Amino acid sequence: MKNTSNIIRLLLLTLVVGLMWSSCTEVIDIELDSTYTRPVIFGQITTDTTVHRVTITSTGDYFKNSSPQGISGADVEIFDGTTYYPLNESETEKGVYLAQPNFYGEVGKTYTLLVSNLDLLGDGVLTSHSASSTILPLGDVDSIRVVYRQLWQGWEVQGFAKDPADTRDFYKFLIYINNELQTDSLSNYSLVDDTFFNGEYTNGVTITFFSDRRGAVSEGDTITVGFCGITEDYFRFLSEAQEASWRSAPLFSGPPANPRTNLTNGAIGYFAAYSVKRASASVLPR
Amino acid sequence: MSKIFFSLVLGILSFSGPIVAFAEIDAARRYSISGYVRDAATGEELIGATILIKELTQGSTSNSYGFYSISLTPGTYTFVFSYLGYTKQEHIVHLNRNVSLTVELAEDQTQLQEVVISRERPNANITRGEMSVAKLDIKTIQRMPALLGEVDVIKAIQLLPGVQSTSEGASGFSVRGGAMDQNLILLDEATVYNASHLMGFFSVFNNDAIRDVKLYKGDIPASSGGRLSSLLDVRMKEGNSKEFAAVGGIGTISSRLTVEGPILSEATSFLVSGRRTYADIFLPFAANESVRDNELFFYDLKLKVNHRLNDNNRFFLSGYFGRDIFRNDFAGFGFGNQTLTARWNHLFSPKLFLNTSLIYTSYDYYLGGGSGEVSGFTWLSDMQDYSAKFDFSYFLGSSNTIRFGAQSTYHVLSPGTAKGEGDESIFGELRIPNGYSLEHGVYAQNEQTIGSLISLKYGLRMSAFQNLGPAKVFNYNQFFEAEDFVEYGDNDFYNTYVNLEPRLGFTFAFNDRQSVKGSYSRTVQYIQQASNSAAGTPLDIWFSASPNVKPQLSDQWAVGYFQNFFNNAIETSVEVYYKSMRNVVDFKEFANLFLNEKLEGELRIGTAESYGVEAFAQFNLGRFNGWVSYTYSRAFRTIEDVNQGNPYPAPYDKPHDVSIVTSYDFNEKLTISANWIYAPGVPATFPAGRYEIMGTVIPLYTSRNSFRYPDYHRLDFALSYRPRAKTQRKWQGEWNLSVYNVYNRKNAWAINFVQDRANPSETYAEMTYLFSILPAITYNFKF
Repeated sequence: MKNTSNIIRLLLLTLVVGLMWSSCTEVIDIELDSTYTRPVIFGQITTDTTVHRVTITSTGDYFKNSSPQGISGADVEIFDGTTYYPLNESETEKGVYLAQPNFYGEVGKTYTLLVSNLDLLGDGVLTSHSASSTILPLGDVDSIRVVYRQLWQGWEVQGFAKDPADTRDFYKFLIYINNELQTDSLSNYSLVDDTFFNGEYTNGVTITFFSDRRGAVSEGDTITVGFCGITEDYFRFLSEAQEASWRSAPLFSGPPANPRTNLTNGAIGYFAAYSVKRASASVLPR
Repeated sequence: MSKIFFSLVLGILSFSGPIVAFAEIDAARRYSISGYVRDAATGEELIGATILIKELTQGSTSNSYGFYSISLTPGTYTFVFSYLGYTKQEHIVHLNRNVSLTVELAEDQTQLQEVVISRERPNANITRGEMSVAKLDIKTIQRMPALLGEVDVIKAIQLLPGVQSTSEGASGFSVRGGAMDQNLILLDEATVYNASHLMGFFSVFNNDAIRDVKLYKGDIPASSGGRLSSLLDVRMKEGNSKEFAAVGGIGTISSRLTVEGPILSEATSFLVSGRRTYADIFLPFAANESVRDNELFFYDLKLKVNHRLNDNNRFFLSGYFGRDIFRNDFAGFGFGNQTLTARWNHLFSPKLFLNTSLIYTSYDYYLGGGSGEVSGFTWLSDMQDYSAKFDFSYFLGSSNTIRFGAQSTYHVLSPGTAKGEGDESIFGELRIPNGYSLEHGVYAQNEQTIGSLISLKYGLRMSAFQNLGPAKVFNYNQFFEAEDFVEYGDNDFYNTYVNLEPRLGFTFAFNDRQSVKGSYSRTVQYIQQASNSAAGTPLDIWFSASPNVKPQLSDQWAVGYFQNFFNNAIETSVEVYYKSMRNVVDFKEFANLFLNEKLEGELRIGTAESYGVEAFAQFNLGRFNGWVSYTYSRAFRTIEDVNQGNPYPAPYDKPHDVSIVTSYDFNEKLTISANWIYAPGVPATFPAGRYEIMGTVIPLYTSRNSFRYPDYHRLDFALSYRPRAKTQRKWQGEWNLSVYNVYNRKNAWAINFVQDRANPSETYAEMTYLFSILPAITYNFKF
C-alpha cells in the first residue's frame, strides 16, 4: 500500500513539475524550539553471517549541524529466547556495539535487543531499553535481470521471485553494484508490499532503476539485489522515517510526524530482524 | 435501489397536496401581486431584487428564480423595484384583485456619476433578514486583478472577511475556520465536489456564464444542509431571451466563448459556454526536457436551456462538463466534474411557488502509468449523486414568507479501483468497495417581518442519513485495528442517523441606516473528504457517516451590527461569531488514505471550535469602488490521539486577515483596480530536534501546528481599457492587463527541513514559493 502511494506521489510530482514553471526555492532562517534529549537506538539482525551492529546515539537541536556523538559504556545484548549474545562496543566507532562475527539470525526466531546501563547525558542517570523483532520466512527468489530502457534512458533491474500467497509480505531491497552496497542510507532504501501481487510470481517487476544521467552503471558491472523479508511494523517504520526525511509539499502531505519506534522507555529508533536472499546479474550490452 | 428512491420521490410529491389546499385558505382576505423581476436587456431573472411597498415601508425580495409575491389588503400601493446597478422602477397598483406584474429593470447607464451622495442605493444589507452572507457582483469580479488573467469567482470569495484561501493560488477555501470539505458548492443546485482546475489555480466557474454568486458563512437557510461551514450558491445565466449575444476572451493561457440567445421565440433561450486552456502550447519552450513532453490542459463546457411554457410553468435544463488532462510518456492523469440539473418552476397560485429539481452530479479521476509494462497500472475513482428536491415558497400576507420542502440524495462513492494495465502487468486488482447511502432533508422556515423594523427567521431542518448495503463494515478496537467485520446485503438499510437542525435569526433595524442581527444555526455533515493535506489535490476520497463514523455537527452563534453611510454608498458591518463542532475528523499520523479498505481505522475524531470578528466596509463612490475587510479569527481542534490530546490550531487558523479590493474608473474607457492581501502564515509543525539513523537525518517533532509560516502578503494590479465602441457596430472589446504579486513578494508555499547533500551533518530550512511577479494580458469581447 505504501508502495502505491509512493508511485502516485511520484507520478503527481512529475506532472506538477511541468506546472510549477515559476516555482523557486531559497534557504531561509527560522528559529526553532528545543526539546529534551532522547536516546536513539538502531540495529538490524539478519540471516547473513556478518558482524551485526547496534548504534546508540542521542537527539540534538535541529540546527546543531554536527553528527550525533555515539554513547559509550552501555550494556547491549541480544536474546533469542534461549541464549543471550553480548555485543561489544567497537574500538574505533563510539556508540557502535558489535555482535560476534559468527552470529546470524534464524527464520522463525524472535530476537530481543536489551540495552541497559545507558548513561545518556553523562550525568550518572542510567536507563534500560528493549525491543523485539521476529524473522519471517521469505518466498523463493529466482533471479534478477538488468535491462536497458530506451524510454526512461537508463537501466532497469527486474526481479523474478514468488510471493507467498497466504501472508501479507513486506520487502526491503539491498542493491549492490560490483558488491558495493548502494542502499547504504535510510533515505535510499527501496520498499514494497505485496498488495498488488499477493501470491503472484513477480514476472520482472521493477526493483530499481539506474538512470544514464547518474552514470552509476555500465556494461559488464555485476548488480546484486538482496531481497529482505521484513515485518509490517518495520516496513511502516522505514516508510515513515523516509517520509519524515523527504521534502513535502502542501498538496500531497499530511502534517509531519515522528516515525514509530519499537523501543521501550522513551528511546527512539528501531530494532529489526529479517531474512535476506540474494540474486545477481551482469549488465548486458544495450 | 432506484425503486426505493422513486417511491421516496413519490412520497414527497403526495405530501405537497394538502399544502396546496392550505395555501388557498386566506386568499379571500388579501390580494396578491406577483411576478418576475428581469433584466430588460437580456430577459435574465434578477435574484434578490428588492420590492418595497412605499406606503407600508415594508418589502420583499425576489427568490432564487427571480419570482416575488406579496399579499396585501385591498388598496392602492406604490411598489418600488430595485436591484444593485439597475435603475429602480415605481409602479402604482390598485390591488382589488390578484395582480400579475413582471418588471424589467434596465441597467444603470450613469455608472460614472461624479456626485456620489445623490445616487440612491438600496439598503438591503441593513433590512434583509439574513447575516453572514456575501453576495458578489459579477461585474466587480471581472474588474479584479487575476492570476494569469483568469478572473475567478472563488478567488474573489477568498477576499471576503471570514474566508481564507487554503494555499497560494488554490481554489480551496476555509470559511470561519472550517475545513475545505465543509463547504457546499452548488452550481445550479448541483453539488460540485471538486471546484478546481489545474491543481486549483483556476476554479470550474467560468465567469462569463455566471449570473449570481452568494456565499453563506453562517445563518444557512433551512433549505440547505449537508455541510458544516458554508454554502456557496452559484447560479448560471438563463441565456438571453431577447437577442443573440456572445461574450468571450482570449487570454494568456486560455480562451473562452459564451453564446446565448432565444430559440424561435422569447419563451425559450439557450446558453453555451466553453473554455479551454493552452498552457501546454508553451511547454515545448521550457528549458527542462522532461517538461517539454507534457500535455496539460483543461476545458469546461456549460449548457443551459430555459423554456417558459406559460406564466405558471417554466423548465430549465443545465449542465456542466469539465475535465483536466495531464499526460506525458510515463503517466497520465485526468479528473473532472459533470453536473446535470433539470428544473421545473410551477406556480400553484400567485402565492405558492414550487421548484422541483432533479439533479445528477459526478466527480471522477483517473491515474495511470507504464502501459504495456509489467508495472503498468491504472487507478480509477468516482462518485455520483442522484437527487430530487422540492422547494415551496408560500407568500403569506406581506409579512410572512414560508419556505418548506424536501430533498433526497442517493450517493454512490467509489473510493478507488487500482489494477494492472495491459497483458504484461503483474499487478492484480485492488477494489475498495463502493459506499451507498441516502441523505434526506425536510425543512420549513418562516421569514416574518413585524412592522418595518423587526424581522425574524425561524426554521427547522430534519436531516437523515442511511447507509445501504452491499457493505462490509469493520469493527475497530481501541487501537483502531479492524478486528472483524459484518457484511450487509443489497439494499439493506443497516444504519440510520436522524438530526434536527434549527436555524434562527433576527434583524432589528433602528432606522434605515442601522441594524443589529443575530443568528443561530446547527448544521450536520454526513459525507466528508479523507484528506490530511493542507491544500486539496484532485485525488479526492469522500467517505460517509457509518456505524463507525458519526455525522459531524456544528452549532454557530453570530451577532452583527450593520450601518450604512452617505445614502448607502458605504456599507459597513461587524460580525462576531462562535462555532462549536463535534465529531470533527482528523487523521492519524502517517495516515494511509489511498486505496485503503480500512480507512475508518485511520480517522481520529474529536471536537473543534472557532471564533472571530469580521469587519467589512464596502464602498460604491461612483468612480471609486471596492471593499476593505479585516478578520480576527481563531480555530482549534481537540482530538484525543493527536498532539497528545491537547488543543492545536486547525490548519486554516489565521488570526489576522486583511483584504483591500479597489477599482477606479478614470473615464468610460479606462479602469484600474488593485487588491492587497495580508494574512499570517498557516500553522505548521516544525522540528524541535533531530537524530540520525543510517546516515539520514530525521526531524524530531514535539507539537502539532505550533509554528507559523512567514506572513503572506501580496499586491495585485489590473488595468482595463475599453476602446470607444463604434456606434454602428455591436462589437465591444476590452483589453485587460493584470499583474499578480506586483512587488514580487516571495510567499512561502512550502517550508522543508533539508539535509545538505554535500555535507550530510548540516541541515537547513528551505522555502518554496510559487509565483514571482506574474503579468498576463486578456482581450475580452462581446457582441
